[in-house]
Amino acid sequence: MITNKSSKYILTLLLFSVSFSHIISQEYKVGDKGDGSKFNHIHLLKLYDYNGNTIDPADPFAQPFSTRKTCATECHSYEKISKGFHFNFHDTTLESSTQTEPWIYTDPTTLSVIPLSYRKNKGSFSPDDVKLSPMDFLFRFGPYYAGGDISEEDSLQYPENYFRWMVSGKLEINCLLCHSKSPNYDRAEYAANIRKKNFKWAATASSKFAEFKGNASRMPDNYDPYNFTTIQSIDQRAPIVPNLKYKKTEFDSENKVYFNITKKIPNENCYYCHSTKIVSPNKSIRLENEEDVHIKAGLLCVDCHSNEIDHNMNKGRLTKGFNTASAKTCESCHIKKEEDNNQLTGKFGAPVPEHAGIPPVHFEKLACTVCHSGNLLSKETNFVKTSRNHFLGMHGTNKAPDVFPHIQTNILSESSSEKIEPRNLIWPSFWADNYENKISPLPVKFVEKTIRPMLGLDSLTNFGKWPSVSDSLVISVLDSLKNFKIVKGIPVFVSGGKIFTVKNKRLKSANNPLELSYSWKKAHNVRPASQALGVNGCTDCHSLSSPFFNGNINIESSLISQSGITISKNEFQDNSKLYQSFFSFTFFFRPWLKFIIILSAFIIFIVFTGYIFQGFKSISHSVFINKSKKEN
Amino acid sequence: MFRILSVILIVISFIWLLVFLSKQKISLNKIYDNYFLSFKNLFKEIKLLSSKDFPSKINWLKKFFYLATIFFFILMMLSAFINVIFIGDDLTGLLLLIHVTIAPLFSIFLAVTIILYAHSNSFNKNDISLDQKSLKINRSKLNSNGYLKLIFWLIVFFSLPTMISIILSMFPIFGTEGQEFLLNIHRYSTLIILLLFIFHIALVSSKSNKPVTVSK
Repeated sequence: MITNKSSKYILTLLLFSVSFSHIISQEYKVGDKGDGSKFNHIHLLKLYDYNGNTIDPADPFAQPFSTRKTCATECHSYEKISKGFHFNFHDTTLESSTQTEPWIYTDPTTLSVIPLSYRKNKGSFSPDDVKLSPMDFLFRFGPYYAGGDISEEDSLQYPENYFRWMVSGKLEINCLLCHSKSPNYDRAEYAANIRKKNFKWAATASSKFAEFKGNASRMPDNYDPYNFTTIQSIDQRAPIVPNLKYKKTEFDSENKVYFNITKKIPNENCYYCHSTKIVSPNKSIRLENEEDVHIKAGLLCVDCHSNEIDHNMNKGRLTKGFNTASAKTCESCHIKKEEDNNQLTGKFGAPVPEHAGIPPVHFEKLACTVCHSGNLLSKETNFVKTSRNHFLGMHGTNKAPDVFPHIQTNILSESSSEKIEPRNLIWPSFWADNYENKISPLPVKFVEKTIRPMLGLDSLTNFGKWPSVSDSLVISVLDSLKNFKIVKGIPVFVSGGKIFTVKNKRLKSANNPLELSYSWKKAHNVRPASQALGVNGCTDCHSLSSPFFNGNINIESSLISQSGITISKNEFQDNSKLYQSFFSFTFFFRPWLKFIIILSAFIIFIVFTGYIFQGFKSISHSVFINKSKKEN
Repeated sequence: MFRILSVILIVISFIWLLVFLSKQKISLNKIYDNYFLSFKNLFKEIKLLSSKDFPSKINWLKKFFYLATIFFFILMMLSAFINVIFIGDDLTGLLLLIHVTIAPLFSIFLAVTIILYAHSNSFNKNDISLDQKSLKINRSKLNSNGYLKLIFWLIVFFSLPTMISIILSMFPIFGTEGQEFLLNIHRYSTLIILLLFIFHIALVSSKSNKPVTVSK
């Protein structure tokens, strides 16, 4: 309690200084805004560790450099950048309605495929929902996590991980992951270090400035690099003690190093996290390894997915909380605006499409990507592998085509904007608790510890195949789960779009494939007009044999009794299959329709012109007679 | 825009129709009954088709095509305007399917009807009176028969852009803006035809509210 006047003044002064420092931290720094020069600034910098000490390569105890201190002390506003799209996972105020690619927790031995997202996208679960701590999350998905947010924010950490964070250090935003254009910046090495929980070393270890060996995950809880007692207690023969040596040749006489970084992010840097590979035995898929038409035309990913210093990436769609004026959608470049009247092309010289012969209703019902994006449609859906969920680009990545998770691609589905768009889709599968009609997945660690032994699935013999179990095994697991306090309601198993429960010793299921699947929009690779859907005419989609409306999507389930079940593509488009088939059938008669109407119009035209002249003749004749009579 | 305009114009013309018919002491029910009675009579007289009396044959065909065209026209209009007026959406789904399926039948029947009725609807001196002083058409002296003929030819005229615009949109000639333009032509000319049809119904009903029979 404030008892006298001076205390009040001190408190006011303190509050003011705290507010002022907060304001200062939000201010732009010298490197945050360009002066208009397109010249690439040379970044010859001293390195600072996380304590703010200058790094001397000769120091045997030199610590890894800190991006927060090295890049952000004087030049860039770390506070602003850390609110950016790649670093604000925990900020749910920005976007939650749009389903984006989740982090997919996959464990075939527990029949688990759980879409996770800190943004709480509809249909996904927060890692906290399955009691996956930020440290566990980083261990699993961190190779493609650019740092910041959950890896820095103390309030988000689980108490049981406290000592591990002391050992691993914080994973600061790794600017180099995106901005480095150095040919020997090793992102796979970054990933490998994350897997070893070498969080504070990861950025340094992957750079060319240092050599690093070690595995922080194998260090004891009391590991301290400055404390010889703890170091001596570790078996030095095992190459796991974090050992960092800076390369003196990289440093100049002032201990400065040259960062080969750029604002114009090379596409390959984006590909580290955003590569996709279509997996299909169907060799006729021409576009499997082809490039996006925009890339071929010379654009960079960041030309469209641009950002300011706030690092709020433009995602190619209008997004809540982002500046809509600067949003770059397909229309932004390919549709001429009134102010561009004199120009023949759109932004960046983008061709303005004519879409000759395509009824405008298509543009109201379909996203541009339906015709212009992804691999060409086939009756059977293809699988796709993505960097983030199949760990593409890492050392020792499993290259098997059917490696988990199974992501089906090019599912034409109605989105929240009520437009049909191509989406990727997974069928979540998990053990859950149905408490007060809310289905919550059980904590993954509990599932690993308790359910995995019950299932007894061997991941090696089941490799590549969706693990299938009998109904009786699921019944016995669900029955057993009733005995655990962690299950407050009814234990259920969600798989293949169904919720399974045990009733009278039998497996009962509630079917809701649309709600229990998780899908997200895909936009790349973009195909040019000459390869777009519809280039061969209406029957590319409107025919009985077209894969647009016809064909089924395989529902992958973990139960043998549910194998081979499919769902019609129309279900995802809110279409009636019967209607679409009949509508497609009418296109068989479309040439006749055209012929009949042209013929009818021609006949009507002949009759009209014939009689109109006769009508004029009659009228003029009447006028002439009347006039003659008048004159007489 | 089109939705608002079509709602306003259709409502106004229907009100006008009701007022006009009430003055003539004709109910909508009666028109409806007469229409179906005409169809019924026509099928009763189907044997005329096999008779050697050529004018009767033609007369039967004229009535048949006229009534069938009206039937298809009503279906076309319902399928076209239900979505526009009540939902405010474009023509899609089942209604589009109905619209597209009936369209070729309607266009054939319309063309044949126009051929069969063109001659009897050609203007003559009995329909148009001329103002002797200015040589302009004196509208007050245009009789109901003249109006009917005028409406007939206006329907013929506006059916051309209606048909041509939609056919052109089916070919890969016009881009999105062109497609919008063609669709607007199709929409507005259809709306005009609908209004003309309402006037036609009013005038035909006032002229004769008896069911159509060939023998008479």
